[in-house]
Amino acid sequence: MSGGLTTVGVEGFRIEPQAGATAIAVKLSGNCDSQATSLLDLFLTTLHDQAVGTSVKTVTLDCQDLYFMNSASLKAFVTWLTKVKVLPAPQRYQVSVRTNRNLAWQSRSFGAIQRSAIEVLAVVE
Amino acid sequence: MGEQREGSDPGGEPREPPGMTAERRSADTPMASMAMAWHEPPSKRVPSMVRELLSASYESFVEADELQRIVMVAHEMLENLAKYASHGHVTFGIELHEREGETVVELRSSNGATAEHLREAEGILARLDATAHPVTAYDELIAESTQRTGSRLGLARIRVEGEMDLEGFVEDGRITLVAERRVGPRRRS
Repeated sequence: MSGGLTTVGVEGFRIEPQAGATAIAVKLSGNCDSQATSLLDLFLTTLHDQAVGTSVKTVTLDCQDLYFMNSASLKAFVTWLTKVKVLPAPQRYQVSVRTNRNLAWQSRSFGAIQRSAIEVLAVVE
Repeated sequence: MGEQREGSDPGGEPREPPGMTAERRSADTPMASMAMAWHEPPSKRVPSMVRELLSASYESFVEADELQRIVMVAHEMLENLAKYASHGHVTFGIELHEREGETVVELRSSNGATAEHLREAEGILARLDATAHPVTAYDELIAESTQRTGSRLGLARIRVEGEMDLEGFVEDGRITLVAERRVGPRRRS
């Protein structure tokens, strides 16, 4: 458990947060499909609220063990990052996604997400 | 997007869209295929189950990156069936065949849908078909997705992330989608 953030999951998908003083690290693993989208949506809302409330500067998503993501999940990330983009500068935090080079779909999907939020999102292998 | 056609065959089954003719198929050598049909919209668990089945069944035919594209496209098509199929039979199929020394994958789905969903799908397909820059159209749809219920990104994702040729045909309250891509030389074990 990390503040208001807790490890959550549904069959085949898991989100594990770890909060520090100035950063929050989140590990996503498994398959994020229609059975997991609402969970992801809710988690990202809570994550955003906590990041803003605790003046976090960086959120890191480890997606190296994320094997699949549907388009509704892609939208969930874009919706979250849109909220980050419009924050006043002092409250805005940066997001970094660590991808797995062996899962080439990740560079295509997170690349598309990054184009919509280039100001706040970095994608690294 | 393909031309709309009127009418249906006497058996009530959707006719094959242009580009899917027997003449063209005769030049192709089948390698593997899978077909499914339902009398009502498939369960929301079906896309995940088929994704697993495809991953296991097709890994010997195509490289890992191509398999990831195919699996993503199949999943998006099946999720559309689970979400938007409204009446009549529902079909999904995938076929790998060899054409001129290359492996080609073809995925197709067909379902009845409400007039509203058919209009939405036609609009997205027309938008993707009309542009010389599908990535830009995809980025615009992504930006717009935050303003609406549902993502409506599946078709654009198939076209751009799947890098598939995508055609859609609406006829008699049904939509048929055909996605195709050359996936490289046949893999030898």
